[in-house]
Amino acid sequence: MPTSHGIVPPYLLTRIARLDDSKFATAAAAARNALEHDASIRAVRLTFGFDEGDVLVAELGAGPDRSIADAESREQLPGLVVRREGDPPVADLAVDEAYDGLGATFALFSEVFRRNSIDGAGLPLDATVHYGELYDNAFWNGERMVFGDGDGEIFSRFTASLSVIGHELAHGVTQYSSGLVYRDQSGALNESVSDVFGALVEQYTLGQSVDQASWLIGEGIFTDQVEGSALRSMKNPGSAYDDDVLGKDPQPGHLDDYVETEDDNGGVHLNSGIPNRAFYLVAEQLGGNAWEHAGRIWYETITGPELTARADFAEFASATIVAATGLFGADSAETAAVRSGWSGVGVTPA
Amino acid sequence: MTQVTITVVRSGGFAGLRRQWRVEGDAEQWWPLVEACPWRSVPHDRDSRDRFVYSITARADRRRRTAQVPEAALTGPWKILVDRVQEARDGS
Repeated sequence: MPTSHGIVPPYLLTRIARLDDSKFATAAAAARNALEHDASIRAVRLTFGFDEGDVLVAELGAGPDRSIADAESREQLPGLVVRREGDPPVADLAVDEAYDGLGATFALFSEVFRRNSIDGAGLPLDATVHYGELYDNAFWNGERMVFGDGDGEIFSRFTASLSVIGHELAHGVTQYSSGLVYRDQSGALNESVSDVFGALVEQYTLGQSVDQASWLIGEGIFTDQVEGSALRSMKNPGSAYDDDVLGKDPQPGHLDDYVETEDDNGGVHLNSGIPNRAFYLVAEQLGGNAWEHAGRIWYETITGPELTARADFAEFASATIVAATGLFGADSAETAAVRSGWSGVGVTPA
Repeated sequence: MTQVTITVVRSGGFAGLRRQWRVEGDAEQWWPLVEACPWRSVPHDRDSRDRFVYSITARADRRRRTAQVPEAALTGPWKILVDRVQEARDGS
């Protein structure tokens, strides 16, 4: 039974591998094995526990290789690296939130889905904070996560929400798996997949079950001056905010209300509400922890062979049914919940 | 004196919020800024996610220019034009 977790950074792994003391022979061999036979492991997660004979055992698993850079209010990437893997916290909230958020996201993908980082092969996780002046956004540029500090009037710093950090990293996972094209329905699915895994990172880290979770994306990003709890709600799309300045959350939660627009690559941040709610409905029907059933089905879908990069909602729905059937069986409660979830948002599987 | 109307619509971003800036002014002053932009060769940004997209339109008499400019390509003359429009008019 594991009782303690710790992340071993690459330099320490190298040191453990070199240990020449019989007391640490097992750890040294494991570390050497990690370094020599799996070049993808840049850092390891060390899990301590006791076996049946009350003997202390240490297990090595994949660990993240993080670096956080500071753009110092300029719009130039990557900025100056201020915290690397294994470094202690620094006196900068955004840096430490990004570091911890990347660690939490890595943990979900590694521990629940057995995926070693964004690419499944230990890709380093790089982030930049303090991007631009009063910059109201967070984005993924194909290589790193970038976070602005917000304008202080509408938006505060974007690292304040774990679901935002998980969302950005999940864009990287999509880039290295399904490659959903960032336009129209496949783009809304790309966005929704990021919201799904962003929400799951938060739930897994906080140990929240389906009914305990907020299902909000970007909670705490708005300042107190805004009438709203978050940027999006997966449970009730369209209900996240209703404000004098910003207007009302425009997300649809049903295919009947799909928004046709040229803005935002065909409304990818609006229409994502539809598959978001489908995911919520699946999770709600199954109860317990969303990452154990609905999350596994969605992860299997985006990494499986069924899904094409230009999939629309109906094709994605169909791929989730194939994934659920493969994982839990055709007559399982899980597969039934998936069918019912899509039906609840008006999507008929292709 | 010929009038020019320039509209900048920013969409996308993590929050998916739409903002618009619009300016009307003297073509002699504004049109050189418009003509400095490479309207026919805007680079695509296929790698980024959650970045802003700028929809920029300029009109003067029968002349009309329009382009969708990804945030990553909003540099040089594009940046100058959008900055000027935003400075001249607060967002709505």
